[in-house]
Amino acid sequence: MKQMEIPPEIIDPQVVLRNLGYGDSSPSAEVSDLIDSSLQKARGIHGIKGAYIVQPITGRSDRGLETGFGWIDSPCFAAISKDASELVFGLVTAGQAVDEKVNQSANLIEACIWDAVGTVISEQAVEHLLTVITAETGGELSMPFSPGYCDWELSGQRVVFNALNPSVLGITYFKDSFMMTPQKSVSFVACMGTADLEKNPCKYCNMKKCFMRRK
Amino acid sequence: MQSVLSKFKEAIDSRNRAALTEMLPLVMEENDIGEIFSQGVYPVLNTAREEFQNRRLGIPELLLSLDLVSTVLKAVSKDGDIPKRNKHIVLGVIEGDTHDMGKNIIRDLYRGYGFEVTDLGKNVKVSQFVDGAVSVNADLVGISTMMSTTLDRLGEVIQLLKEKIPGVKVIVGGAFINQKIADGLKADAYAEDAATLIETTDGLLA
Repeated sequence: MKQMEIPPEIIDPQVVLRNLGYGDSSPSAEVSDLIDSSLQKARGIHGIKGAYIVQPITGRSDRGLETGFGWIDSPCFAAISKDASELVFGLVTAGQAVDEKVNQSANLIEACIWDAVGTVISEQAVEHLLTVITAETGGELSMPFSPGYCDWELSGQRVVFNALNPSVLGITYFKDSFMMTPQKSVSFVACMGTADLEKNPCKYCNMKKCFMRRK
Repeated sequence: MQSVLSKFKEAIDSRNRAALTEMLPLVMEENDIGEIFSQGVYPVLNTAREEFQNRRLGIPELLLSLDLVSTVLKAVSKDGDIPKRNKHIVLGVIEGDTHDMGKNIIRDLYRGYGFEVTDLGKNVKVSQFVDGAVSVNADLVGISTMMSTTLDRLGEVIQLLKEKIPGVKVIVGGAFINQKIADGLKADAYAEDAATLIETTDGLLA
């Protein structure tokens, strides 16, 4: 397992705005000041971390994949992995500081802004980690696929936790629900292969109206 | 000449706290509490929700509007009964989940529209949910979860609530929940988003 600190510079303010519900509109001056202040503080945050491990696929069927860390029970993921030789298990966290910022906010508006900042940190930490993995391994990667996505039950988180010890990143989780703390943490798998690797699991998913659907 | 009520509406609409503070005593002097809400507060809040739904307004602005409405509620409640809907809503995030941002926004929205709200918090056990709802004889219980792994517990709460409080309505919401899941859980409604929630709730409690 490889682990790393992820720099807070990954935060894209435009994505934070989208998360807060701004489509074509912009925040008011008062809200803009609050967002700018939170972003400034977020850029000083330490504790954004990621870890990954590359693992061969040890068995497969139309229903899922055997990984050595457990069975990935997802026909959708099995479909996109047909040309993959290996899998990457990944885990990132925005860290405890973001949870504290949300919980210690003076009001719901500030908490909401910090919540959006935390969401963006965790999403962009995944992108950062994928870039690092590509650079370090030279392999092509599919888009990340997380437990709870598409047809993979959230309980599939167990397989990722078997592969990567979450406590190393300071992550704990509820035994039954697999809810992670810090809250802004993301686990995923991705396929690794050559250039003709299928990259988008959403192509095989029947949830056409899913708000997470990627084109 | 612009009426006091109209200036009051404008202050909430533009989320101008200073103007609202200035207009509040005047509007209370000229209007009864029912008029302040039916002709002032609710039309502005309805517009804010519509703008939010169309992504012309962000969540923070919607919350700022609700914060101003909370100021109005506090001020007018000193002067008499606020126009409550006489309905008690119990909210919480089910055990196994601590994502409570959505639930907190919904709580403030309900309060802004004059509902009595009991917030049970997050990671709420099945028994706490049921006891909390029974203790206030809830008219509606809103259960939130972002985790698919909590669905069994959610179903359990709904079944127990229906047994213990005849006529209670249950509404469920959260990122992965949809109408089909809500139907499967035998909930009375699915809370799609904050923008349409008040109409859904009014429909259930009519």
